[in-house]
Amino acid sequence: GKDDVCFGTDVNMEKDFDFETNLALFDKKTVMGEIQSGKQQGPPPG
Amino acid sequence: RKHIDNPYEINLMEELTLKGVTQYYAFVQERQKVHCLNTLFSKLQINQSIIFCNSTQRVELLAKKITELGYSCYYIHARMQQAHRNRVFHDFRNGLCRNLVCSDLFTRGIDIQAVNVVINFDFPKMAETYLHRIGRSGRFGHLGIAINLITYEDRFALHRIESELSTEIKPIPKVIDKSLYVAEFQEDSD
Repeated sequence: GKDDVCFGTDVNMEKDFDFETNLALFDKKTVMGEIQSGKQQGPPPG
Repeated sequence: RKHIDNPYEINLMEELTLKGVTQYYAFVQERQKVHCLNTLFSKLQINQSIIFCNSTQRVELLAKKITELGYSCYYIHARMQQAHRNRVFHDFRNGLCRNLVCSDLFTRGIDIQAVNVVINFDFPKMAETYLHRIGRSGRFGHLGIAINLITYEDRFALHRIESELSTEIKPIPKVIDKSLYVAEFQEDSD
């Protein structure tokens, strides 16, 4: 499950995590806009 | 209440505020979270940090990982006995350890001056939880940074929390200005 994926894999820690490359994979403005306008169907409230 | 005529109610709880806390997010996959955290530990000038997880199981797993990475940490969660929890928190408050991993136990926010970095290893679902993790009571309000590890699954919670709290969580910059969270770099600390 999710915990195995998160804690089970050994990653190479010699290199720094690449924040910039990963941020580029998420277009926050567009995604937030789509949620706002209902284009992305969210989970039911509660 | 029925024994008191016209009770005068006052709320002694100070309101939590996000003022003074700079909020950032890093976009990650679940399998990248530990790597991301390790890099944050090495890059940030942490005085004391609190790292939040969404389950007791994950608190224990993460505390183990952090120790393996060579950083000292305490952990507390809801399934531990209250007396034990209090002792660990007391020792953390007294600065015996730099990092604390925990689940959502604080109903009044964290009031430890020495904590200058809060990391949401797991992003919360509810705005109230987010505020309790990151918010400071007015009396203790001081500068600090909050870093949220956001996965694509968290996008709805991110949208909800930003709009309900009327706040903005910005992408983590290449270099974080030390005056935002390191005491000796703050110009007008009063």
